[in-house]
Amino acid sequence: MRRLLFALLPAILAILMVWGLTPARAEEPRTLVVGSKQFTEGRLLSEILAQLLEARTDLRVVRRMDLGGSRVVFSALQAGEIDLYPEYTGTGLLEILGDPRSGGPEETLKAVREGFLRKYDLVWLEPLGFNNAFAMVVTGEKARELGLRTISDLKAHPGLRYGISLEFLERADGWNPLLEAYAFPREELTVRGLQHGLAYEALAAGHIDVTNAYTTDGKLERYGLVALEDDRGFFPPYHAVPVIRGEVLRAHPEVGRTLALLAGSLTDRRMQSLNYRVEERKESFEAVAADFLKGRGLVKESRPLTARARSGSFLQYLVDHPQQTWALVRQHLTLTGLAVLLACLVGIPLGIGITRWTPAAPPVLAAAGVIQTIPSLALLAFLIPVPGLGLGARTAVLALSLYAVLPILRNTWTGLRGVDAGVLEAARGMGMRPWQVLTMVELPLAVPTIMAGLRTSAVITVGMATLAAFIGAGGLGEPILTGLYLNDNVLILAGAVPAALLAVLVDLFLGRLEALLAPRGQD
Amino acid sequence: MIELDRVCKVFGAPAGAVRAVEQVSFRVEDGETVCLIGTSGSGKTTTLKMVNRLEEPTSGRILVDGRDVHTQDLIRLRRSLGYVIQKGGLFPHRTVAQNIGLLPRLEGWPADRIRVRVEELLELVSLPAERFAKRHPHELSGGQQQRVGVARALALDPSHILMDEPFGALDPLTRDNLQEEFLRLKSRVGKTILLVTHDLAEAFRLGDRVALMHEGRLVQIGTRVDFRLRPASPFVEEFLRSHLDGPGEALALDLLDPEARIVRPGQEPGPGGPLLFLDPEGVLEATAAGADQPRFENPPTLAASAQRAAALEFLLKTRLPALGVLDEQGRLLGAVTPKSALRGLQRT
Ligand SMILES: Nc1ncnc2c1ncn2[C@@H]1O[C@H](COP(=O)(O)OP(=O)(O)O)[C@@H](O)[C@H]1O
Ligand SMILES: [Mg+2]
Repeated sequence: MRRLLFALLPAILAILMVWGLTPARAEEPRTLVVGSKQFTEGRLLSEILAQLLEARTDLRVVRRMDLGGSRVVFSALQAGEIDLYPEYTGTGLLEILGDPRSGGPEETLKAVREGFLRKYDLVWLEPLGFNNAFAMVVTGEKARELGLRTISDLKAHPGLRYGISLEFLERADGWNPLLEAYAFPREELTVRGLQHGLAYEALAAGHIDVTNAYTTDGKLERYGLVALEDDRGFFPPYHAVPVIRGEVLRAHPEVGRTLALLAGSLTDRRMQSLNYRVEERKESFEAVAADFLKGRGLVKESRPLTARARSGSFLQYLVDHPQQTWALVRQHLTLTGLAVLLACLVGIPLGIGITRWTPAAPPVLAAAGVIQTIPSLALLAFLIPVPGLGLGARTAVLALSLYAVLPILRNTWTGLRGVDAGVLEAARGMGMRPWQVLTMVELPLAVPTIMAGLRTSAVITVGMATLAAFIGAGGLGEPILTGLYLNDNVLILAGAVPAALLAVLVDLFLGRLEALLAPRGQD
Repeated sequence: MIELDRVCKVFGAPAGAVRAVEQVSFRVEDGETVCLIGTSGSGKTTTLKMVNRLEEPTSGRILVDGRDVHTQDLIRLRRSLGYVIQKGGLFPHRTVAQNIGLLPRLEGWPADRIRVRVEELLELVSLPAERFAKRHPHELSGGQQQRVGVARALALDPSHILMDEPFGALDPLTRDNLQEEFLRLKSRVGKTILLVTHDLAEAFRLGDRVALMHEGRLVQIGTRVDFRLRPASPFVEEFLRSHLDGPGEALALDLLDPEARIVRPGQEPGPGGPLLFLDPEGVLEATAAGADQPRFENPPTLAASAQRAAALEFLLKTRLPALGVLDEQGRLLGAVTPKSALRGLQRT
């Protein structure tokens, strides 16, 4: 019975694999894939582009929304996983081209147009109009109290607490260059990094005094925030522009013509109010986009629209969306199961291998350790362009399994090395063949240790799998990440609580399995 | 028969080679038990492991039943050599029956035959199958585990058995029991046995011959009497002195009465005694407690290897004042007297 279970386990997981993996992008000629970054405005703009293209071209539009940061979306575009997405001129110049030049809106657009075309065969179409620049913001109250008007004014008040978004801290056009440009006394500043979606609450609650924001952010108004003037002209212009693969544009020039209808149609204020409708009035992206397009006379009839549910609690949300939740849980489990299976398929044989040939052990274990230290987003961005991977489950599973492999590998190694030397010597000396020693003596005795590694790995992976949402692979990370940028606690909990429960259940289940598989007669 | 011919083993380490075994040659005859003895690190285990090729010799040859082990299939070779190690090396996740039946199973025996064989072997090592077959090793005492280890080594009925300190990890009482059992078993199964031990008393008790190793070299091989009478070097003498101090271990050889005197034909016995009278051929002809005491003609004698208990019993039975002690060639070494036979016992 025990042995049967052991033999069936990989089979069960393999079935999960076939069931769960989304195929890589099918090359349908009449399909256009619209991507988006993972924040309200990016997602909303993409939805507007998608709806317009659906209404005015005969292409089938596929949405791959909510991809991670600029790097992930750009990798996806380069790899042909998506065909277009809206990007900001400043981001394109500094983040992607790595060009530190700063200039006016015209020069910047010109620079990215040339650079992208030459380097990547990507085309920047017509700007949509508004400039979603970075800004440093404080509460109106604080501004009045301290007489803050410009960024330079901040220098006079070293006691201010800065809460800076994690992305901004890292950006090439972000925090550090800003400090330099304004010659801030760096040592005197109190700075903490936080998730952008949480910064406003922190500001409102008085935990921080200054944060970075976007000029079109719908929340500025709601929280009564004031953007400080960029008196040294540090922030580059961030005009939103649809960026499309040259190949696609040449095949479907109508896409360029259609999107040109949107040129200059969005002012800063209009964008701010659209953002506000999604974030604060809880209208759906689809509804707001359709409304906007209809208002501009760009589409005639909008589809029937549903407002996003304003549910009271996350439990209510789960009850209201059983199928959605179940699908996410299933996706999540599939991602986790496949990743752990893959990690087992690699980690256990590798662990066995390095006990047979010990000189390989230190480098192999070190390499597995190094993988753990790669930031997950960087790993994802790195994997997307790999042929056959792209956006979606394959890349997610691969990335997760890379993280999952260490505990399994290490415990296989530890478990096998822990087998009593006398027992091994007896087994060899009595005339068992090497594979008999391995399968009849070493592995059975190492099972508890290996299973413990597998369990650790699985529980970690359940948590890590929320990151799959960054690359459109679904799972419970989807509501969490959307909830984070929409500042919607219900959504966050609707993902986080089932994920936590799942981790506990997986741990319990594997604990039982471990007890079942453990060889009898161990002291 | 196991034969080692100028066997050397050098463990190559970058920091410096260890010459674990140097030019060792000896034989274990069919049905014989040879005990390898020596201080820790003297190369006993390495020597043993080269026989079943857990280690490969650096040079030299090892023959089992006349065939070079190196030319044989490794697995077949090992299965033809029973192997018992300290603490038994039992598989903790397998029952006693599974441990013993493993090699027969790998050999493809039918289940019935395996079961019968396991029961037979358990009986042989005095562990009733109905009580022990289904237990796991951790449910056994150390001595019981070691018995199972022996039973497992006998499963395929190998003609040769290699044992590495089989009783080394046991308490003295259990060890004594198992040694007793070993001797009983040996007489029943008639195997050729090479046994490593660091306990000299055990070596002399279990081995037909003892091979003493020191720093990788074979210093001397022989019976206990050989060692006692003809130590190959001062090292051997010293080794025996420091490793054989238990009074219970003494042999007739160790109990000779220094006051006993040998009287050749025509010699005057003089005062004191006891006396041993030789005939003209140098054969013991009579014993007496003293010159003016009665002579006992054609007295029985003791072998040099006789144990103290046997010597005492014999003295009591015959009521002789002195028993002549002969070496393997029948030469008179001296006499054991009631006084000398008890010597050393009072001390403890
Ligand atoms: N695998 C090995 N590698 C290096 N040196 C070894 C190895 N095995 C044994 N030795 C060395 O060989 C010598 C003899 O060891 P061993 O045969 O185990 O001695 P004994 O069994 O008499 O205690 C010792 O000096 C030991 O350190
Ligand atoms: Mg040893």
